[in-house]
Amino acid sequence: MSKKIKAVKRRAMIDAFLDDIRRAGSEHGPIADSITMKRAGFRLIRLPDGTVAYKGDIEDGAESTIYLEAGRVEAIQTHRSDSIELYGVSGGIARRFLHAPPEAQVVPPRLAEYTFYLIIRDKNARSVILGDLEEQYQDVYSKFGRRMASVFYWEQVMLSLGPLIWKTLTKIVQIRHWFAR
Amino acid sequence: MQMKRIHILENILNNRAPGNFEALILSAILFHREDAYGVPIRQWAEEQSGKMVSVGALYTTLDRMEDKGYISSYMGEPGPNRGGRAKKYFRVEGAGLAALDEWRSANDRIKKGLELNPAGGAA
Repeated sequence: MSKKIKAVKRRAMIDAFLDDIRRAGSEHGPIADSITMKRAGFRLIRLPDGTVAYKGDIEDGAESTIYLEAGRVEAIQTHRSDSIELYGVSGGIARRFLHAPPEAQVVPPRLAEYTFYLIIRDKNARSVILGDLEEQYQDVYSKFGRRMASVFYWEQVMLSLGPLIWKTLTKIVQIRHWFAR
Repeated sequence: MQMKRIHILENILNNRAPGNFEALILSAILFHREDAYGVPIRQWAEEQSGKMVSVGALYTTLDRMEDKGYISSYMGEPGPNRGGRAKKYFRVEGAGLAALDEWRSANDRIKKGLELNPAGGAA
């Protein structure tokens, strides 16, 4: 079976499953059948708080986490590049929430963040700078999307390298000067 | 008058007089008062100067001004939209206000000099 047909089948399977969730389900919500989930490319994971969930990538870059309780679906969270869809199943009624703030789930590029770990040794100073950048990253993300937010973040990293390295060098020179006295 | 000039010269020689960027940051802190932390200071500086201000340049300048005694800082509460990291707030001290005043009067003197001699050559 070609990759394309496999992807289409998998997508259809997931869509059918999500449709089940969207409809008013049974009293406890639909059962997440392990075989169906495995075929759809989801894997069973145990979260740090002890909750069991299925996690997997859907085509076009979206990722879904299906939270389970006693084998039944409790909630589904789908992350897409531009929004977060949260489906909750409780009391036999499937509810869909689209108001989940995307910034709560958004994280800046890890490599860019790591660059600051390399050039700023002071933990407090680094934390303040990373906090400011994350706040602005989320602001740009909510207005212009992930790509522009990443461009903004990397731009700040590149422009900050010069002043921060210069500051470190002058500090080293000052310390050496102090010892030489 | 003569004493004030000597004082300004001493400040310049000791690197105590604020540069244009330091004056811009000082005015940004004064403008934002109780809400003066990195993000609004940087945005205000960009709006007023029309140039991009990097977070690295901003914090290097803020640290330098704190060493000079122009400003002081205190840590705020961590915020959820900052990945749980705290904000650092700044306030302008007396030395900062005096430095800003010196910067302004120096600029006024340059402006007056240009007005008296707009061609730039001999008057």
